[in-house]
Amino acid sequence: MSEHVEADALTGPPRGVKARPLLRRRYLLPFALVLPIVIYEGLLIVYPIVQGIFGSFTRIELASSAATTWVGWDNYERMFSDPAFWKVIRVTLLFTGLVIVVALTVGLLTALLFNRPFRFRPFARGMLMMPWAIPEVPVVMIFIWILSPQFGVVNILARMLPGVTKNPQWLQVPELAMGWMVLISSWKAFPFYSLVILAALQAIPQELYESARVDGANRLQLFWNITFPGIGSTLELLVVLAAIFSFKQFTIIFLMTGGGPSGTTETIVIRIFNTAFRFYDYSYATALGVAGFVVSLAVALVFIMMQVRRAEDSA
Amino acid sequence: MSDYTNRRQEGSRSTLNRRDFLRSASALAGLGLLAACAPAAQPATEVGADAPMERTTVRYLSWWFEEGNRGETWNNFVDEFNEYQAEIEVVAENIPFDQYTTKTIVGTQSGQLDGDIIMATPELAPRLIQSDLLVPLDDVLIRNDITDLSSAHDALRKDGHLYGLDMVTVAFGILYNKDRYEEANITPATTPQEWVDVSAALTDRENQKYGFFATHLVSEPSDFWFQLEVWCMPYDGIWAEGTTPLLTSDPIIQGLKLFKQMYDVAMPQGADNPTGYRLFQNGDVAQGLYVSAAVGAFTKDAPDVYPKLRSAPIPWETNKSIARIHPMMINKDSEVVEESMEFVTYMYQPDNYRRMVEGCEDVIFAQPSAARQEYLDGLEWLKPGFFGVDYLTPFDIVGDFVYNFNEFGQIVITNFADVLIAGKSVEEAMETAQVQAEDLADRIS
Repeated sequence: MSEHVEADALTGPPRGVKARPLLRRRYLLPFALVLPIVIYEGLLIVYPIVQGIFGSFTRIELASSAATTWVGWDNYERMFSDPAFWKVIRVTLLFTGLVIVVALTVGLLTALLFNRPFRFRPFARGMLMMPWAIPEVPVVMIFIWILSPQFGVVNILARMLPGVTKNPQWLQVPELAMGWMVLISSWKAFPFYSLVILAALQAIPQELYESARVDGANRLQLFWNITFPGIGSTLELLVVLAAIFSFKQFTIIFLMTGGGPSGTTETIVIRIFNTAFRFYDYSYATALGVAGFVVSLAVALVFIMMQVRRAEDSA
Repeated sequence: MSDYTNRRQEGSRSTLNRRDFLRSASALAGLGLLAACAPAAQPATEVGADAPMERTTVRYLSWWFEEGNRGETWNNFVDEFNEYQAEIEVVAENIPFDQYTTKTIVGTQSGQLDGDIIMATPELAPRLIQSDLLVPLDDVLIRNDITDLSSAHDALRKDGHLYGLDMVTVAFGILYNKDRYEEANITPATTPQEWVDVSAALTDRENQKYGFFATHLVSEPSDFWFQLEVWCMPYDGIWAEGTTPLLTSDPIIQGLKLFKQMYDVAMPQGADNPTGYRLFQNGDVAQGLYVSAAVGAFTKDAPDVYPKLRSAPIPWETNKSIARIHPMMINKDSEVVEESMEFVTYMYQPDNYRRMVEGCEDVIFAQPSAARQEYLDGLEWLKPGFFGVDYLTPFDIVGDFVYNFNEFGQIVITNFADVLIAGKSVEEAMETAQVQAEDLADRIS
C-alpha cells in the first residue's frame, strides 16, 4: 500500500486512473507561483529585447505614413563603417575602465579604514553612504555649480596653483571633462563598493591574522596573503557590477557635458539616446542598443567564466 | 482554559487554512477591483430630466499652459470658450516643452497622433503635415473672413491646403539693458563689427560684467543650435538649400567667425543657459540675441530689469532675422474634428487673436491687421529691434533638413564647439561638418 502511494507520488497515477485533484494542484503550484514573474519578465524585458533586435534590421520612418521596411544588415553595416561609432566605443571603454579602477580603489581603501576600530566609526560609516544615497540629478546640480567657470568654488583652489591665472573651463576642455566625469561617477558609486568590501572583510576569520602575526608576517604580507584572497571573489563580482553600472551611466554625463566637448565624453548610452530621441533615427538606435547589449553580455560572461573556474579550482 | 475554548480554537485553526485565506483574499481583491472599475454611484436626485446635456470633450495639447503670461492667457481663453457655449468642453493638457516633440512623434509611431488640437514647433509642424496626419484649416479663414495671413504660413501648406494656423510667432532680436549702455556711454551698433566692439566695451571679466551672452555648450544642444541658427543672418546666408548643406559657404563662415569673436571678447565662457539668463537678469550681462517670447518671461522673473529693456536695431544690412512660428493644428484621427474646428475658429477670430497676442505680450502678429497700434506703442523694447524686421523662418534657412533639424544642428554645434574650445579654425571645422551633413543628406533623401 505504502509502496503504491510513493510510486504514485513520483510518477503520477497509473494509466486509466483519474488523477487526484490534490496531486494535480501540487504539480501546478510551482508553475503558478513563477508565472507572474515570467509574464513580467517576458513582457517588460524579453519582448522589448526581441523587438529591439528585430527593429535593428528594419527602417522605421517616425511619424510618417511609410511602412516599416526590412533592411537586413544595413544598420549594422552603417554602424561598423561609422568612425563615430568606434570613437564612442573607445570613450565608453575608457570611461568604464577608469571608473572601475578609481571607484574600487577608493572603495577598498575606505573599507580597510572602516574595518579598523576608531571613535565615531558608526557615524563615519553613515556619512560614507551619503554620496551613494543622494539622487544623481541633485549631484549634477551641485557639481555644475562647483565647476562653474564664473562662480565655482573649485576655481579658488585652482588659482592657488602656479601658472593658473584665469578660471579653467572644467567641462569644456576634453581631458578635464573626462576626468571630472570619472571622478563624479566614482564619487557617487564608491560607497556601495566600500560597503560590500567591508562585509567581505568582516567575514575573514581573525584567527588567520593572529596565526600569521605569530609567524612574523608584516602588514603588507597580511594584506596580500590573507585579506586580498579573502575578498577576491567579492572584488571580482564588484568589477563586473562596476563595469555594468558605469557602462550604462547616463544622467551625470548627459546633464553635465551632453557627450561633449568634441565627443570626448560621449558614451554609447548617450549616443543611443541622441539617435533615438533627438534625431528620431530609431532603427539605427536599436542597432547601437544591440551593440551595447552584446558588450554588457560579454562582461557578464567573463564574470560567469571566472566564477566557474574558481569553483573548479576550489573543487 | 476550558475544553470548549480549546475546541473552538482548534476548530478555527482547521477552518482558516492557507488556501481558504488565499481564496478569501482573492475574493476580496476581486470585489475591490470590480468596485474600482464600476462607475461612481450617482445620487438618485441627479439622474433625471434636469441633467445638463453632456458636453463633447476636446483635448488641446500644448507646452505653454504653465508658462507665465502665456499660460495664464491661454487658460483664460479655454475657460472663456467653455463658458461661451454649452456643447463643447476644451480641456487643456500641458506637456513640458522638452518632451513635447518626442512625445508627439513617438506617440504617432506607437499608434496615432495624440490629442485633438495640437500645438507644434516650426520643426514638428512640417513632419506632421508631410505625414498626412492633419485636417485642412482653410475653413477657419473663410469663416473668420481673414485674407491677410502672414507669409510664414506658406510653409504650412500642402497641395493648396493650409494645415496649421500660426498662434505664436517669436522672433530673434538684440535685447539690451539700457542702464548698461548708458553707464558705458554707448549707442547701439549698426554693423556686425561695431556690434563686437560695443560688446567688448561692455565687458569687464574681472568684475564679472559681460557684453553679450549666447548659449554655447554642447551639453545644451537644443538651446545652442536654437540660438546659433540666427548667425547665418549677419552675412545673408542660409545653412542649407533643399538637401544641400552650405556649411562651407562664405556667409556661414563669416557668421560663425563673428560668433567666435563675441565669444572671445564679450561672453561668460563656459556659462550654461540658466547662468547666462541669471546674469542678464542681474544686469551682469548687457545684451543678448533673445526671442521676443523671452521678454514676457522677464516681466515675472525679473520685474526690476523689465523696464530697462530696449532692443537694438538689427546690425546687418539685410535687416533679416528669424521668426519661429508655432501653429495650431487638428488631428485627422480625432473623433471630434468639428468641435476642434469650432475652438480654432473661435481663437482665430481677429479680436480674440489680438487679445491672445496682447495677453502673451507677443509682438509679431500672424494676422497683421489684428494688431492694435496702442498696444505696440506701449512696448518700450519693441522698436527698433523687433519692428519692421524682415523675417525668415527655419524652413527658409535649413532647407529639407527641417525634417532632421536636431541632427543637422548637432553636426554644426559639435564641430563649431571645436572652434570655441579646441582652437580649430572655422573653415576646418565646417569642412568636417559639411562632409557629415552631406552624409546625412544622402541618408534622408
